[in-house]
Amino acid sequence: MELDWSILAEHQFRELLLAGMLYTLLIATVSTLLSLVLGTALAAARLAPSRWLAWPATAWVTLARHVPGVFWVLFFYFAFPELLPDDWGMVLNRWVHFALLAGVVGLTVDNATYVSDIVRNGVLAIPRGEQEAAKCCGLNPWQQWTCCLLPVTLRIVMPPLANRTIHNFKNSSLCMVIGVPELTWATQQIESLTFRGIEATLAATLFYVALASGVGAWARRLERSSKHQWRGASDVFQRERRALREQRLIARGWARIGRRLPREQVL
Amino acid sequence: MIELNGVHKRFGDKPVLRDATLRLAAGEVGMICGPSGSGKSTLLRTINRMEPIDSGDVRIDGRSVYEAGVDLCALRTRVGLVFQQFNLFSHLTALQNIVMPLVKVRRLARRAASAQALSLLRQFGLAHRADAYPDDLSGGERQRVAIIRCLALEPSVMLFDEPTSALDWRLRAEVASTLRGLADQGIALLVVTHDLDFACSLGDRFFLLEGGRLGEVDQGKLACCDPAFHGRLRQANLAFPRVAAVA
Repeated sequence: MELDWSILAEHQFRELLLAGMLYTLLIATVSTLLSLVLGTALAAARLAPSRWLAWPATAWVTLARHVPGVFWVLFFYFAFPELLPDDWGMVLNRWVHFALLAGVVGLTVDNATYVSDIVRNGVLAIPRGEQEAAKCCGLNPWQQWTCCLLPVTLRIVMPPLANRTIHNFKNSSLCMVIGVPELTWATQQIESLTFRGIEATLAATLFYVALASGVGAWARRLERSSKHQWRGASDVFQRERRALREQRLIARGWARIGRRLPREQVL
Repeated sequence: MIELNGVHKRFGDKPVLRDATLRLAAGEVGMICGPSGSGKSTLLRTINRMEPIDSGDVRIDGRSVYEAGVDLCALRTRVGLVFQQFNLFSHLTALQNIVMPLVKVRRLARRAASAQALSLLRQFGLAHRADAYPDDLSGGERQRVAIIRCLALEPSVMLFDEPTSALDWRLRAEVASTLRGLADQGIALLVVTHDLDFACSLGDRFFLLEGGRLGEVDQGKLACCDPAFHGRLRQANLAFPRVAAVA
């Protein structure tokens, strides 16, 4: 069998593939970011001392985890507008980008359930003492999460979170079932128009592999930097570090010119 | 000033504190001894409301800790608790461990908080370790950072849970002098310890927690030499204090 790569250079198919790649990138990136936020919020709710928060969040995650991702995409595209008041449903159905929106929301809901589990397990892995220390320092619950729990949790959950992100990037192909012109949909179009599906499929495969490799490399880099204990991760403390460095330089200068530094007063 | 009035606390069916009553004035050092599992740490945790009590009352500087509408965050800045395992934030350096609560809780500007934290680190002989992460600090250094983290919030009461459990004799002496310095500043200190040498060298008042009952053993350090006290300590599986340390 001979492969004819020239069809990918033809204007209409090239445009189709490029648009597909852009849509895939857009769907995957937006749904991943949104699901990180939603998943973290769900994890916080599940760990909250209040049953009114913890129980609904746990019930939701349990339900959503047992439903296929494609179901959410179909649900938000076909069923959700029906649940809204008539006018709203009509407006949504007429909107040009509604399929894209439904796809992003469906993937977000699907991915958020797994993210919430990952984040929750990460928080539970933090030594209890650190959580209690945060309380004892007088930090409010929001500050406990943002200043103490999340930075440590991210360090712990980086590998499973990276895996999940790669999975979500691949799941963007589910949006083809509602007609979003993403990469897999574009590949299918080329195949049905030219009967030369292998070339288009191979090109799409390369793109998916590159995308997943990029995400993996980025996650590994983050993981490596977290192993260096988040040095430089927060600009909040950059100034202090600079001040310390300056103080050390000054101290060295004093030592060099042979003057005695004041002894540190020990209480 | 710390006041515990008839505090009762139980975990399920097991009573941990029965009618615990204690009064410690500003600048006093109270040492709490007792066998393992007798509820010493729980007693400390009830004072800053990390553990709720079943009945009774706890007052800090005359204000009830358990009345409705108490601002827990503000309360916990007034009542510093230094944990047995120190519990420093592992993702922050020594300096950042101190600066973060100052910025977030005391609402200090970062520059001012850093200056204050550095000055405290310098006071405690740790300025050269400001940039080190908790994993890179020794036990004694970690403990001093934990003390500074509490101290920076200017508490009126400080609670210590087994502060010498991980330290050698030299560091214990250092910690004792550090705590004495805090008491001299007018901070009331309540220290849970198994280390009677340490208790005798530091405490102003001594309490024994046995079977959920908290009793003051004697008002002076010489109480440690009392044979009856020794007998009770022996029952409680505690080590003998060295008489030389008492003298």
